Amino acid sequence: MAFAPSRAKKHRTSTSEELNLTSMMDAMTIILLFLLKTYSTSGAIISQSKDLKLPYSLSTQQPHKELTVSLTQENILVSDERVMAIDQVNRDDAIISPLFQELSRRAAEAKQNHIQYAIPFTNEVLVVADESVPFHLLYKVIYTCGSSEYNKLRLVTIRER
Amino acid sequence: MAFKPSMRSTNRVKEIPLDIRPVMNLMVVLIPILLYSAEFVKLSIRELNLPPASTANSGGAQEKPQEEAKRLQLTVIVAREGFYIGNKSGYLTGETDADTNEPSVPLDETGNYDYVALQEQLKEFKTKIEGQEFVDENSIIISAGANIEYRHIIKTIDFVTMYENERGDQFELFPQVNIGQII
Repeated sequence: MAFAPSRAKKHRTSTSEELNLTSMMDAMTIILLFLLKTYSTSGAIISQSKDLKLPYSLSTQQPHKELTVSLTQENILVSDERVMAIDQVNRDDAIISPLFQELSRRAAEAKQNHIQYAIPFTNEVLVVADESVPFHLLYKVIYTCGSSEYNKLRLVTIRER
Repeated sequence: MAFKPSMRSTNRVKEIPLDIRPVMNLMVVLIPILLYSAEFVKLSIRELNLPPASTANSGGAQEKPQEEAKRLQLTVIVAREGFYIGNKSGYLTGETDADTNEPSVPLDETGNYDYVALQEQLKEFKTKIEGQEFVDENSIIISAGANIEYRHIIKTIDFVTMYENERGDQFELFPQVNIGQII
C-alpha cells in the first residue's frame, strides 16, 4: 500500500535559512594571523629547484637582495640568467672566464648606476650553491667573484632553527 | 479622537544576524595574497669577505710591515678521512702518533664528520693562543679536498665560528672565515 502524502509537509512554508559563517570566520582569522606572522617584506630572494638545494646552517644573519651567483648541479647562473654549464668549466684554471666577464660587465654597469643614479655599489654578491657542489668548483667561483669587483661574498643557506 | 494605543507592549525585539559576508570577502582576498608572499623557508647567510681585487696591487707597499707581525694562519682541511687542523708549519696528528697521515679529527663510528670533536680541539686551541698577540687570532682558513661537498664546508664553518656552552650561551671561536685551497 502506498503511503498517504504527508499533510504537514504540504502546508509547510519554506523559511529562508541563513548560512552560518561564524565558524568559518574563526578559521579564517587564525589562518590570517598565521600568515601575517610569516609575512616577509623582502620576498623570495632565490627560487629553489630540483638541482638547487641549499645547505643548512646555524647562521642567523639576514640576507639582503643583491646580485646572485647560482651554482646548480648543472649550470652557473648570474641573477637567474644562465651563463654556462658546469661541464664547460676548465679544471686547470682557477678563474672561470665566462663568469668573470659577466661579473665584470655587471660591476661596470653597477658603477655606472652609482655615478648616474646614486644607487650604491656594495661589492656584495649572494652565492647560492647547491649542497652537493664539489669544493674545487666552489673555490673557483669564490676566486672568480673575488677577482672581479664582487669581493664581499654571502653564502646563502637555510636556517636550521 | 483617542490615540492609537502604543504598540510598545507588543513590540518584540527582532534578532538581526550579524552580516559578516563583507569581512569574509576581505579574508578570501587577503589569504591568497599573504600565502603568495609567505616565506616558509627561512634563509640566512654566511659572510665571506675577500680582500678587494684592485687594492691587491696598489697596496703592496703598505702590506709589507704586516708580514712581520705574528701570524698564526690556522687552517682546517676537510678531507674524506676527517679534519686536519694545522698552520703553515705543520698539522696536528691524530691519536696514534706513528702514522703521520692520520687526520687530526677522524670520522666518527658511523662514518660522518665529527664536528663536535673538531670544535673541542679548536676550543682548546683558542685558549692556548690567547694573549700571544697573533694578528689573526680570530681568523681561520677552511680548505677541503677537491670533491668534498659544499654542505660539509658550510657545516664546518658553522662549527668553527661559534660554540655554545651547556647553558646555551654563544661564544665566538674563529669568526673570520677564509676559504683556501690546499697547496
